[in-house]
Amino acid sequence: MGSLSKSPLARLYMFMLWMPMLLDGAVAQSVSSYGKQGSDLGLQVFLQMVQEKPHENVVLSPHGVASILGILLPGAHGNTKQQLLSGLRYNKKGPYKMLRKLHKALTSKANTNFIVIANALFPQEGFNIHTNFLTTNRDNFLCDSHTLNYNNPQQSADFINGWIKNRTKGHIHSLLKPDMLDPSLTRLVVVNSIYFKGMWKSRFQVQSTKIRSFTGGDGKSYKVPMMSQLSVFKIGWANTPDGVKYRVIELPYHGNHTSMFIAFPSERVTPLSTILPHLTTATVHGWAKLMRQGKIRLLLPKFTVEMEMDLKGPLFALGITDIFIKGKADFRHLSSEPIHLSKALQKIKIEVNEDGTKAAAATTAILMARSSPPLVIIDRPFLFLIRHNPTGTILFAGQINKP
Amino acid sequence: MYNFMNAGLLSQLDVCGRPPLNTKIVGGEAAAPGSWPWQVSIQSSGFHFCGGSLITENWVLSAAHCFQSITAPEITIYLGMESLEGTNSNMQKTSASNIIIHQEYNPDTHDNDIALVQLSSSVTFTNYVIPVCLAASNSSFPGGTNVWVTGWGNIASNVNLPFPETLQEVQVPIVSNSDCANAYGSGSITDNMMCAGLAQGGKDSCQGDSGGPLVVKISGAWVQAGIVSFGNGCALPKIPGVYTRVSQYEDWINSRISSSQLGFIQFSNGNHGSLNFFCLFLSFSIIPFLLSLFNF
Repeated sequence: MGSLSKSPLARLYMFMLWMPMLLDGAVAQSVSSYGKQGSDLGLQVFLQMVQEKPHENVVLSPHGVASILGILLPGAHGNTKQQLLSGLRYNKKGPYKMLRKLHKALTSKANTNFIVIANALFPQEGFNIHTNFLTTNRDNFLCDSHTLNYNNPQQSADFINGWIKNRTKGHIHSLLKPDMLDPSLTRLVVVNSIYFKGMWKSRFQVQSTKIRSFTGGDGKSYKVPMMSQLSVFKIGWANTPDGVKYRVIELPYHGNHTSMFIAFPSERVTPLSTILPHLTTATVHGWAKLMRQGKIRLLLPKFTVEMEMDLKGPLFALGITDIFIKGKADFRHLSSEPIHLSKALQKIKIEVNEDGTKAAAATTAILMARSSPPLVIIDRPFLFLIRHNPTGTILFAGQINKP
Repeated sequence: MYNFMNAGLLSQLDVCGRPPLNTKIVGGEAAAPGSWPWQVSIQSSGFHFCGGSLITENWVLSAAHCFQSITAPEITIYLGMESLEGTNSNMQKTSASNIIIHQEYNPDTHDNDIALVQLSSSVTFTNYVIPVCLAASNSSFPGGTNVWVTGWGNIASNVNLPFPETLQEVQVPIVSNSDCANAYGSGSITDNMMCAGLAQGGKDSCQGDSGGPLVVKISGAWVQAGIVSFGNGCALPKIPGVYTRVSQYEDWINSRISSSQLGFIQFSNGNHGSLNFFCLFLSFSIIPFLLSLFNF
């Protein structure tokens, strides 16, 4: 694995910040639900975002959104809790067990250089957070806790940034600005960060990458580095409930438990936005039946996308409102002091490049037609999803309008 | 040098299959420039995916399976090409306005694997861009007849043609349909197919050659007898490559394009024994053009 860390090919860094978070409440063993539907709420947030930014690049971690709400959930009570529960669509039992399993699988020794999930609570020094709340999150979300003195915003911001930089192996730095931390109001900052360095199962040859045209979401033509490989992938066609046909391709990462799915409308003139609204974890699960192994020449843009976003708007639109409203937020199981969330920030950086573990596998088929394998060129806006296949968890969702 | 700019007054049969510069894919070698001036590269987004042959100034013959997942607006036809990489002053390129796939093409059996591509604009005939003649109905190609196949396809199964991707040519003997059926199974080789390859293997068309021509020379004129279609692997011993039998499609081609422009030539071979002493004769489907043949 040492060589993997030296030559990252497809990297994903993701980082989330929630701050300042002000609360009230008392701790309780609110063993609430966190289940398989966890990624659907995050996908909803993603869809809210792409609706607002149809012509931009958008990247989000549905799993990260769910994780943050999942961290808050045991502290919530009453309507605040109900909103989180209905948003997360979790059933009453088992979700935490699944999460622990997922985090264990993703961060097992064999995957140490592959993905890092890091969550942390940063309470104000002397601010009373119930021990049970901290314990629950340590167990379920591998969540650290560090007290900070927000009366010194610069020092607090530096500490959090340093923690993130350290935990993401230096790939994400300096996200939190001191002026985002109100010295008098900040009680708790919740951070969720994911560092993902994907190595394709079948690598792209660097010398095959060439500058080619990409028609952006704005209709203009851009020259972008386009990677190319001739290999066997799962590929198929899917249809939206409205009958819009779209292409789906699965690109497995090393180890096979994580894949990138790419989807885009079959007709060049059809905007990407027409295929997005019906996107759920069930949709993605259904793609498996529609895809077949096929040898294709795949052209995929090499891209880096980095963005920081306030999740408040999309979550508000999805009915998760109380956590942000002073006086309505009920976090009595988190702390006895009244507290509400002022900001919900997520920062993601993704790089997708040629790196992978081995060359494309050669296949020989009987009675093969003697044309070259079909060309699949992703030269227009596309959706990508990175999924942990055994659990169906959507780690990342992205819309690329211009690589 | 014959000036094909003046060829407009002549019929297609006057010019087809007679390249002034003709002097051989798996086991093949690089072709000299202008040797196979009807050979075209059909590309999508800058990638060659199939071959084809120029048969009139605005029609290209190719294989149906080349166009199963692609439409006319997505392809570009390159003519006069020697290498796929680098620049070439003899190159002409044009888009396609229409693709006609044989109505009875069967992707499972590969039967009727033939298609016509209409060019958006007429090409200019030069020493490097010349149409090929086509084998007329009732032509026969007995086993052992030596033919040439050309293309930019793989040089072995799963091995791409290396830089600069120069057009390859290979000479292989025809294998009778009955012998070919021994390799592929009874009933798998239809009358619309023909086979070619060496018993010991080593020379064959391969992936990327599809749609390209299998040609044979008849008294100075090159006639296309086959279209690269499919095979089990490439160049394996006792497993010939399978080609679409062009002579079965004279009527079909004529019905789809203005037939007066086409050069169909009937080919048959009276000597079934020795390959070295072919008794060749020509009969032209359009007699008046016979005389002008000798302008060359």
